[in-house]
Amino acid sequence: MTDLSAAIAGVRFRNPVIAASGTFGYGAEYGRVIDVASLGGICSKGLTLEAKPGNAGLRLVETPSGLINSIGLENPGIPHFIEHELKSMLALGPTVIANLSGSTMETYVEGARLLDATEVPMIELNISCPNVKAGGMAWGLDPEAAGSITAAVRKATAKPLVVKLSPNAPHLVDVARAAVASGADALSLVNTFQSFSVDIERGKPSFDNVTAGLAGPAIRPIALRLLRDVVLGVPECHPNRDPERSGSTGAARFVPVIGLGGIATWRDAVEFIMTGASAIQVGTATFANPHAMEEIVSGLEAFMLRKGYSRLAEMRGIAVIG
Amino acid sequence: MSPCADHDPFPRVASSARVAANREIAPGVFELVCDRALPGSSGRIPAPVPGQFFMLRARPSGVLLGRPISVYRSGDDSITFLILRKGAGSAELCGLRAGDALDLVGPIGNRFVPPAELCVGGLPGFTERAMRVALVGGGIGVAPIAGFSFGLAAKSFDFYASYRSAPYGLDGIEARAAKVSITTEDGSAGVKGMLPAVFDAGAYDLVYACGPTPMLRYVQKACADARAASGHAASDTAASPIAFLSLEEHMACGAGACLGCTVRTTGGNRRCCVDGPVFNGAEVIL
Repeated sequence: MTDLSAAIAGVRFRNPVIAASGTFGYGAEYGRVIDVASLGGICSKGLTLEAKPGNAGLRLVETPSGLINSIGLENPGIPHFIEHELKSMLALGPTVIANLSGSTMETYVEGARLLDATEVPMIELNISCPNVKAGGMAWGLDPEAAGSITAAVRKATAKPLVVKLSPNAPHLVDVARAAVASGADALSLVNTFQSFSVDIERGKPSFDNVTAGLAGPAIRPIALRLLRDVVLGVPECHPNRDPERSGSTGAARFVPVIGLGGIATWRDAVEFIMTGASAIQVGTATFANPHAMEEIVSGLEAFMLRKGYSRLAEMRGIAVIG
Repeated sequence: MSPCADHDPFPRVASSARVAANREIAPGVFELVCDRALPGSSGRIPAPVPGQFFMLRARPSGVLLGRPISVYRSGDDSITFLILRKGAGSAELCGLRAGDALDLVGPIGNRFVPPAELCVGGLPGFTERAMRVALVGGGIGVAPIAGFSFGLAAKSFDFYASYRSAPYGLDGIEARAAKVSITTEDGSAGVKGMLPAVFDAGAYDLVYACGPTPMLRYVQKACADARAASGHAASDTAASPIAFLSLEEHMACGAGACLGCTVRTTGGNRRCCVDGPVFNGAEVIL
């Protein structure tokens, strides 16, 4: 019997495959082409306290094995989400994660308070959106800023809190340590890579917001290396502390990491899990192949059967701890 | 309520499909026919309605995402697309041969609501007389407009088609349209010039258009001016002439999830893929 279930900060996922924020709407959008109930979890689109119209101008540029986006957190606002989208999202079956974004600390904290009063089982604190002028990624570049926003949101909610990190931080491991020290129950990494594109006909930046976030298979090996850095560099994230792994006493605090960045196939998912990810998120791959996440779930199960792994923990982190 | 706010309620698949035929019908323009029967299963591609599109990608492919391609013709056994060879993704599609596989998602989007249904909807002033209908296609935008025309009564519409050079996508149109007007920028066929050389919006109640954004902007303004000239507010979404504009945007998901194809309207943001691609010209901001 193969057990694909994952537990992140006490929250159970029927399998470790989670739709990444901003790539799956509020869960129902793909309902006519895939079996949404087969997923482990769904992250909501990035939510801000007030509704946001998103960025003007071109929002997408495809690159070799990648996609640059400049959506700019278009969303109806947290009160609208709670009133209109959350209930049907919870009814879909997969574990729901609300992705909390913001600009100032006050808007993050107020958003967290509102979400805290709902049924949503988990909050992902987004301090890594590169596509908004105020806030967003600015909170995720510097350990001190990341620590202060995490601590403030931690005070505002008792919900399990995942902090989503930016690969654009000059010292990602330090940012991860700060988030963990300030109360993060889990980390997710990585958000998109800051990039630039030129419209050669106009001789101007392709995007009105000038720089934009690169995602897709092109970033995968770098995302995987950053996952390794964090898993080995943040003591609380190290597989040796994983209570589900044999040999661990389970006494010391363990902060699981959700890996993402260009995962498109079950093989990619296995790489992330063997590098120490307790669960994985899939984003851009769903655009290219709406069935990608379903195929990852079935491929993972077949791989575990073939290798004789009965639980994810048996292969988690094995590629980085020897 | 806008007469074209008709949210996409149709069944959709994401699947591999089989190419039945593909041929170049004009320089750089290909007519790709896809079997509706899905290989390796008893499934079929759901029948699209006029105005809908599919995300198409060759298999195998060197590009990441499907490309949004409008339906040209739809039958019991096959769906036909016209594809303009433009970038890497469309070039791959243009290079497909009979028997090759492609990945598709669709049908996607709302539709061109036909004149008869608008009449039933009770648009003020339209029930007393037959509606005067113009279909307008620009370049590869002729494809969905021509496809739409085959569901309309013969001789119930005028057809306008504008091209840079050689016309295409007009099979069977001459026999069915009350009038066909063609423009080419190089004068190789029809009237030399662009759409304004032949088109008078004031002569119509309903104008259905698909083409490059500058052409759609022209149709939008010409219809607004004609409404104003007949005493209606230019912003009146139900006054004659109504412009139904089919838009094209860069898209990633084709599912309404990524918000990459957002279109601005007087009523706020809309997703081109599933709230459109057809929008009322009095509402959409181009």
